Amino acid sequence: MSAITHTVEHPPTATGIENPKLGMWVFLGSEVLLFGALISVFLLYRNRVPSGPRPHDVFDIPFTSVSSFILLMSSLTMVLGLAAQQRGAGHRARTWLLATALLGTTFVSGQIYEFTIFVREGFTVRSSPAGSAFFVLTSFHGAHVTIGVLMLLSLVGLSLRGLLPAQRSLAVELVGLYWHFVDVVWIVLFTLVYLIPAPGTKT
Amino acid sequence: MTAEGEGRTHPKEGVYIKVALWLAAVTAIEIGVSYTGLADWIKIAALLSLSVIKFGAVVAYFMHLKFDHPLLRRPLIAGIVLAGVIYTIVLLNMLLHSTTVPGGP
Repeated sequence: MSAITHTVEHPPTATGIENPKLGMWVFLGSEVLLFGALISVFLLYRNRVPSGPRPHDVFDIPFTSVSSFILLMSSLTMVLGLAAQQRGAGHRARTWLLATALLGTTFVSGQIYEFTIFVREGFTVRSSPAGSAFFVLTSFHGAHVTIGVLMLLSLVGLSLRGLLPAQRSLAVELVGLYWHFVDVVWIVLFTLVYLIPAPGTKT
Repeated sequence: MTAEGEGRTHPKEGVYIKVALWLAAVTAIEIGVSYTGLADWIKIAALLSLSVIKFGAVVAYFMHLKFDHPLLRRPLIAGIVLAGVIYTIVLLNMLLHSTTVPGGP
């Protein structure tokens, strides 16, 4: 596989890894536990619907599939932005980062639209334990995407002011790690929450 | 070993685009599988396997775990293992022993 090599300047560490990067990975490891808890609660409660629609009665799989594809492609634009940043192509990096923020915003907008449809059909955060578990889980994820979008826009702002030279590409890499993590969480959520049928559900 | 001047090798942009195309294809297969009339256990096994493939591809290529220092894999693996063990125990415990789940039948 062909490859490009780049050098990063940072203070020496015992492990040879930049401390912020190791810190980000530890943070992401802890986030796995947070989302693990929320996913477990959903799996436990998804059939607990005393009255009203069940989750799979209201899901619009084609719509959510498009949203998933958008978030997946935002990971591509993010990594292309990082690559451009690392080779000092600031303008191109900003373009990719903006594209990532735009895709993230589209995803969150889709999620809000989806929520309004669910609420209209009677599947709300208060309608059943399944509703509570679903909305808490997906809202937490949506909040993470929103925070990611804000971080991306901050990076673009810094870059426009000339405060993000190629030597400081670690900042972009850290935001990128967070963004890709949000994407992998959705990969798991999309499968476990939307695609896998709940016991007793006809698909 | 010091980190100063450490050279790291990341793939070229073409590799990222190829991975993204594969991910899109796997997503399409996932959606196709969810609509098939296969037995639930086959469907679930296939969907989980495809999800693991997508997860692995993003983590390995886009998050660079395949190319970065191996030590960086440990926090994520630790999180996944811990979450898997803890929540499997919790779920099994609640499913097997709880008869008073709110809203339960």
